[in-house]
Amino acid sequence: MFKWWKSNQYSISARQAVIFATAAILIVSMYALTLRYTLHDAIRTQMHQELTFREKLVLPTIQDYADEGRWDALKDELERISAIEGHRVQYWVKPTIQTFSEAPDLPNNVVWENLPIGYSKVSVSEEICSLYLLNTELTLSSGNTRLALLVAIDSTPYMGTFDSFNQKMFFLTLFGACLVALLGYVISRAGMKPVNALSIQSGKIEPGVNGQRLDTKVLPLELQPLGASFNGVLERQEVAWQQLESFNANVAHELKTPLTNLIGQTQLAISKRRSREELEELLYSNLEELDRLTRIVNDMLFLSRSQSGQTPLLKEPVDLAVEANKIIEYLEPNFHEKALRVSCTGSGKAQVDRGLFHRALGNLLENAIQYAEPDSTILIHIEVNAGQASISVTNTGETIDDTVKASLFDRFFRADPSRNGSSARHGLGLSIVKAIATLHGGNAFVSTSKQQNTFGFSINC
Amino acid sequence: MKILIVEDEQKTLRYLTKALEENGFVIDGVDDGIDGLHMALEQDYEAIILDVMLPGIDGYQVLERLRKRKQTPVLMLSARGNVEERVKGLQKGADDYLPKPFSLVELIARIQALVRRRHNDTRDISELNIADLNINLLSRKVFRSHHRIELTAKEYSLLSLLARHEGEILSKLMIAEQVWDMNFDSDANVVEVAVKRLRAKLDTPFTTKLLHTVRGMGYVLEERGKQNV
Repeated sequence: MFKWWKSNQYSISARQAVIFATAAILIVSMYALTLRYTLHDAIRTQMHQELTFREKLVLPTIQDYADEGRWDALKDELERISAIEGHRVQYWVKPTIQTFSEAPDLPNNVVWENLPIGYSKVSVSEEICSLYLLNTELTLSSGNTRLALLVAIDSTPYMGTFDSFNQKMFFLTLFGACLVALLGYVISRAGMKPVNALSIQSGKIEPGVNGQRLDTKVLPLELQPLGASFNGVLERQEVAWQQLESFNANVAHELKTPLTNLIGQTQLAISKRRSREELEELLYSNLEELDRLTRIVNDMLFLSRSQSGQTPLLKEPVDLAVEANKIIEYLEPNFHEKALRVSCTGSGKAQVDRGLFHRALGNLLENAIQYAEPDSTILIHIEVNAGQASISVTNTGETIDDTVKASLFDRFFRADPSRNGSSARHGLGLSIVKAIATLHGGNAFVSTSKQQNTFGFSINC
Repeated sequence: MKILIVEDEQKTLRYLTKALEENGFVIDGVDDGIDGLHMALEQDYEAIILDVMLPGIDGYQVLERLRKRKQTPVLMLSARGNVEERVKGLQKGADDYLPKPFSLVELIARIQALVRRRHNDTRDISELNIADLNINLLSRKVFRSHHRIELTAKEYSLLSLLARHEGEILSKLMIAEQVWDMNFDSDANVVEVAVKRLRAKLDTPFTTKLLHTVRGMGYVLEERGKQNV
């Protein structure tokens, strides 16, 4: 039962029916208990009144007989009065000081001496209902003789009523609960109908077709947020889908250029007799194109593996400034070529995969060199803050437009589409930086100010 | 120096055979796993180049069965370059693992390394001599025809790397990895620049050139005059 309750596959209607039934049982039981208590109270009051009434009724008789000392006659008389009502009411008297010659014939369980003065209630046996008792002491008008009087009323008829009331109440409660559960289920089913309508609507959505949305206007008020968020999901999926498609197109395009070169120049070479040198030249050129293809394929594989979490990191504690200087040395000729100066500030240690760190910072520096103005300074800044190390590279150059900032780390994105020459890097450098940062629990970032573009990435120390 | 190549792609098999033959190896080539295993068990090879995806039985199984009887060095080739595959290959007893697409230069270098390792060629040497070039590895001094050549630290590492691999073509990436500790593919032409500087000190003043560029592949340090004569 609990398993069913906790599992996510319960029927909402069934669950609501159970909740309704529980609520109904609770409320009806509360009413029933209150009524039962009230009724019980009323019966007791009624009994007490009857006892008092009977006592008043027999008091003059007792006075009369007791004055004359006719005890046995009094007993008979009380017996007679009791018999009139079919022994439903019984009377016993005894003097408080001396006892009768024989003890009064009291029912089982009733011990006169233990009874309090006033009203009390005693259960005689299982079958016979409780006896309501009134125990009083009287002083006879004639003298000092004190008597004790016990009046008892059998509550069977009242209790019969009470029991039948209880029984009816119990069944009524049970029946009511069942009815509420059933009705609750039906109501809930009716209430859930718009959800079915929603699922039919969403069932009609086909894959790959853009612009499909749920019609939220026909939905009830409660379901409109769900519909709207579902539409939001659709929209985001659509964007992702389009990105993927344009990515595929980009890959194809990126591969097309070297392939075209390969095919074209090879065809040209074999169309005529060529000298050995010309053929050699062709092979070298082919090799360059093939290297380029290999690099694209390897970078793509790296990105796809890093995204599916298949790249294991060989993390080790690394002094970031030391590594940065190694890369600066490695790229020294490239700086030299554009007469660029490099300055590295800050320091920090972090747990990183050294090879990947080299690659990320190397990509950033190559990017900076490519876009830096000749004879300017490239700034590398290392900072460790709150468990995050961040490495940024700033170059002086044309300020990057705000509109393209968000796409800079996308695969194959190039701020300048015309820069598509055979020797230029394909547009995966920055997305690799981002992938490496993500692998290290960080992120890639870009910021610009006047004539200054800063690219960087953070890593979790 | 006999090497077995087990590779079902005919074109690959053909050019690998040719390349290794040109590098002084004797090659047996087979194109399926069953023949490959048979040959590997029957004959003694210096090394085996084993493709993973083969008809008959695949490369891993060939390797597994081979290892039960022989410890011939094995270089595995695979188009599946992911790390699990690589680890699987190495765990099953491969000595090296090269994902496709690979560069020929790298393959040859690795085969030479495997063969060298087998011949226990790692003995400590304190001096390298190529033609009239003398490198003292202990004092880190370089002489040519008894003239002292002054080199920077990087130039020295580059020269000693090339000298240790005399006659082997080393790709730019391999050099970058060994000398600069950089293993990422880049447009960086630091290797080119460093080679140029080294050449200016090492070769320019002398008639016999030792440091050669193999276009599109890398660099090699060797005395070429003799072979041609």
